[in-house]
Amino acid sequence: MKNKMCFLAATALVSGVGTGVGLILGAGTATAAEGTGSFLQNRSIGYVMTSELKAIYDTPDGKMECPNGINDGPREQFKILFPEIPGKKYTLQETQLEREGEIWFPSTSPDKVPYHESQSKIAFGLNLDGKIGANDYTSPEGEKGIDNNLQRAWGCTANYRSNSYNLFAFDNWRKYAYNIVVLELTDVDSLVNDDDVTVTSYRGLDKPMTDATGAKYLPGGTQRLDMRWGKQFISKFKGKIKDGVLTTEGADYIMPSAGNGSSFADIRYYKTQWRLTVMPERAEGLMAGYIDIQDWNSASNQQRSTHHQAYGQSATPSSYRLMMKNADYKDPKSGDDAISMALRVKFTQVFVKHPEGNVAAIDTGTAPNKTAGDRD
Amino acid sequence: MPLFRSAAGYSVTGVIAATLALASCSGPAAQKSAGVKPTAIAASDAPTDGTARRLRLVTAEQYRNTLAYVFGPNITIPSAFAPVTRTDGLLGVGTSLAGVTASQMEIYQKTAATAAAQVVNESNRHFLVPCTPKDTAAPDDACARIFLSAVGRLVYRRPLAEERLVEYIAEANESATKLKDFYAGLGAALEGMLLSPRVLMVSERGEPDPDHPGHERLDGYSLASRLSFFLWNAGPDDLLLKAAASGELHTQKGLSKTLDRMLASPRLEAGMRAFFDDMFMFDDFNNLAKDGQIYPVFTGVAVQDAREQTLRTVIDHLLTKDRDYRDLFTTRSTFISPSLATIYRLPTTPGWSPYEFPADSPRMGLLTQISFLAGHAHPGRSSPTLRGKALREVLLCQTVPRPPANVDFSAVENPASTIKTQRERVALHLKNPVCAGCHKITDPMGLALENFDGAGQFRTEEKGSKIDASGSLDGKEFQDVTGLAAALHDHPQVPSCLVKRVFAYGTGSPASADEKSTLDYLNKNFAAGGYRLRNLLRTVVMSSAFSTVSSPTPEPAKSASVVHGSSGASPVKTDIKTDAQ
Repeated sequence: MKNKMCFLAATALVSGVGTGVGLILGAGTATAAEGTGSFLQNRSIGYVMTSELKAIYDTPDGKMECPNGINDGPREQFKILFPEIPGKKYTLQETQLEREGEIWFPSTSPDKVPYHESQSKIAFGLNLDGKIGANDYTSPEGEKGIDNNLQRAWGCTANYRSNSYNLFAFDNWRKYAYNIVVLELTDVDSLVNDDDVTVTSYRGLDKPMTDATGAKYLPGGTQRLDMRWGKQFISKFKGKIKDGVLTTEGADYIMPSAGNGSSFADIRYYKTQWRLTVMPERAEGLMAGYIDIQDWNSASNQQRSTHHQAYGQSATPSSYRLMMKNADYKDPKSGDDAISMALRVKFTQVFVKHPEGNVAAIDTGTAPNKTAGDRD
Repeated sequence: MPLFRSAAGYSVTGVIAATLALASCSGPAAQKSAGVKPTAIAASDAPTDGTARRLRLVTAEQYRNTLAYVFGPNITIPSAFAPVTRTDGLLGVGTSLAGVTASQMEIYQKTAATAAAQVVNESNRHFLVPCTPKDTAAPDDACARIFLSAVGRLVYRRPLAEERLVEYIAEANESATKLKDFYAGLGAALEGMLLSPRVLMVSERGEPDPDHPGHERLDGYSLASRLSFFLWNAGPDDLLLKAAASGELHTQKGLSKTLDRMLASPRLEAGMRAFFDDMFMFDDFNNLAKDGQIYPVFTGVAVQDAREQTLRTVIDHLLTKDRDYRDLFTTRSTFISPSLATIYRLPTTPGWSPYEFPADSPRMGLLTQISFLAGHAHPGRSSPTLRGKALREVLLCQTVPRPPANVDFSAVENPASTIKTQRERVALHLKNPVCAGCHKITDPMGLALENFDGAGQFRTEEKGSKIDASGSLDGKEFQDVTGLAAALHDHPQVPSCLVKRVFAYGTGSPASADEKSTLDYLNKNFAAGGYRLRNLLRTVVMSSAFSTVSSPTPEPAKSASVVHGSSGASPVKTDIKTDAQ
C-alpha cells in the first residue's frame, strides 16, 4: 500500500496535478523522484552542450553591416602583402616567417591590410554591464543595451557569418571528449517559473549520446563530472526561470577548449551570463560575457593552423587588432583585456553523475583563480 | 463475491474463471494447456512410469559451453545453429523434435572444423594436447590415443568404445601421413569427432531399475548428461562421468553429493541463465527492433542489454541471494547499463552496475523491466494484449489462442483513427464477441502496464490523454502496475508454472497428465522450501521421476552419412551406424 501511494504521488507530481501549474507540467517540467521517468529529478536537471556558435548578426547580402565587403583571409592577405611582381624575389624571413611571427606575437599597430568592422546596429547578446551606452547594440527583438563588441570586430569575417563554412565553430566541436560542457540546474521546483535556481558548470567526461545516425542528440544520457582535473571549469551562477527562460547573474567562467586531442587552450569568459529556454529534454539560447582576448588568440592559433583559418577567411592577426581595439573589459586579477560577446548555444538533457561523496559542493567563488598560462 | 480464498488471499473463483475462459475461448488447444490447480494436493515422490527417454539436439550454446569447459574459453565458436521449434513453452523441449538438414550439417561441419583447428594450432597445442609426438611430421599412435580417448570421453559424454577409438586414431594417422603433420592429422580426427551424431545429439539410454522392479532408469552416463545439460547447459565434466561410471549417481547419497557439487559450481549460473533465457522466450530478442523515429533511444545495444538485465536480476535474486522466486515480481533491485539508463531515465556509470529503484518509483519487478515491456509490444507502440498474453503464457504457463485467421483488424489499425490511448484501442476488442472472449483474459492485466510505452519508457500521458493504468488479474483488481506486481506475486500459478517449466526443461519432456502427482509433489516442496530455486532444482533432480524413464531407447536417425574434412586431410567419414556404440 505504501508503495502504491508513493507511486501515485510521484505520478501526480510528474503530471502537474500536485503543483497546479497546469497541463504544461505534464511534459515533465515539475520535479519528480528518480525512476519516475522525469528528466527533472530531485529538483535538479542537467544539460550537456551540443552546439556553440559565435552569435554574430548579419544580413543575407551583408551590404548593411559590411558596406566594404567581407574581409580577406590569410591567403588573400598574403597575396596583397606579397604580390607577384616580375623580377621581385621575397625571402622566407620577410614573408612566411614574418606572418607566423605576427600570429604568435600579435600587435595592435595599424594593420597593413584593410580589415573592416561591422557597421550593424543590431547584435545578439545580453546587457552585461546593466547600462545602455552609446556603443551598445539593440537585439533583433528590440532589447537595448546589448554588449557585443565582438559583433563589431568579427561581423565582416566570413567564418562567423551565417551560411559560411564555419569550420571552427561547427557542432562537432562539442562532441570531442575534452570539450564537454555540462550545466546542472539545482534547487529547481519548476522549469516554467522559479525565482531562485543555481546553475553550476562542469566539464563532463562522456561523449553526448546520439541516435543511431549520430546526427541527433538524445536526452537521457549520463555525464560523469571531471572533479579531478576539471575544477577550474566549475562556476556557479545564481539564476531564475520565468516563463520557461532561465537567466543568470554574471560569474567568471572557463570553458574547456581543446583541438582534436593535440592542444588544450581553455578560454576565460568574464561576467558570464546565461539566457536559456529550458525544457525537459533540451535547452538553448545565449551565453554572453567578456572573452579573454589573449586566451582566444592562443586557442585559435594552437588549434587551427593558418591553412585551416584560411577556409573561413579568418586572419587572427587582423581579428586580434580589432578585438583589442574594441575591448571593453579588463580582468582585475590578470589585467587581461576582454571583449563583450555572445555564443548561441544548444544543450541536450543529461543526468549528472557526481562522484561518490563529492556532490556539487565545490564553491569556486565568482572568479577563476588562475590565468590561462597557469593552467597549461 | 468469491466462494472462498486461498491462503494468499487469492480469489480461487477468479483463477478458475480465468482458466475456464482460456479453455473456452478457442477450444481444445486452450483446454489442454490450462494451468495447474493452485491448491496442491499432498503428494509423495512415489515411483512413476518415468519421463520419456529423449534424443535431443545439442544447442549452439551447449556445444559452445562444452567445448569451452573441455578446451578453455579461448576456443571460440562463431557459428549459430539453426533455431528449434518452441514446444510447450520451451526451446529445450523443442530440441527433442528437431531434425538435421543438409544445410545444418554444413554449419556443424564448419563449427567442428573451426574448433578443431584452434585446438591443434601452434598457440594452443602445447597445453591442450597432453603429449608430444615423437615426430611432428608423422603419425604417432600413442599420442593420438592419449588425446582422442580423453577428449572423446568428454565430448561423447561416455568412454569411447575401443573399436571407435581405433578408427579415430587411424583417421588421425592417415591425415598426418598425407599432410606430413601430426597435429593436422589430430585436428582432422577431432573435427570428425565433434561432428559425430553422438556429440551433436544427446541420446538417453535406459536400463532395468533394480530398486524398482518393472521400472527402467537412465543409465549412469545418460543420467550424468541429463543432470549436466539441465544444471550447467553443457556436457558432464570428468568428475560427473566418474560418478556415472562408479554407479554413484544411482544411489541417493551419491546423487545428492554430486548435486551439491553441481549446485555449488559456477557453471550453475550459465545453466540457469540458459533456462530463464528459454523460459522468458528471450530468443525473440534476436529479431526485436523498434521504430527508430519513435523510440530513438531503443538501440541495438539496448536490445541486448534488456535481455541481459533481466537475466542478471534473476540470477542475482535466485542464486546469489537465494531469495523467493515470487519476489522477482516485486523486487526493486536490478542492474543498469548506460543504454538502459537512457530508457529508464537514470544516471549511471559505464558498464553494468547494481541499482535499486526508489520505493516511490513505479519500477518494480520483472514486468517493469524493459525486456518484458519492449519485448511484448509493437515496434511503434505499447500493446496491452501482447503483454497480457505474455504474462499468461510465460509466467502462468497458460496458452492464449491465436486470433482467428479471418479476424478484422481494421478498427484497431485505422491510421486515421482518433483513438488516443491504448485503453480506448483495446476497448474495441470487447465490442466484437469473437474478439472479446480472449481479449478479456489478456487485456485487463496488460492495461496495468500502460504507464510504459513500447520501448519501456515511463509515461503518464498518451497523445495528451492521461493514462488509466487500472486493471485486474483473475479476480484481483488494482489501480496501477504496483498492484499488478503484487497480484502476480501472490498468484498461485506463478510458482507452479516455474515448477512445470523446470521439470520439463530438466527432463526434456513437457509434463504429461500422468505426471500430475510428480508436479504436485514438486509444488508442495517448492512452497515448503520458501520458493527457492536451488531447493527446487534439488527436489527435481532427487525425484524418482527425474531418473526413471519409460519408452524404448531412441537412436539417432540411421539415414545420415556424412563426409567431412576441410583442411586437405583425408575425408573423415562419420557414419551413424559405425559411430553408434
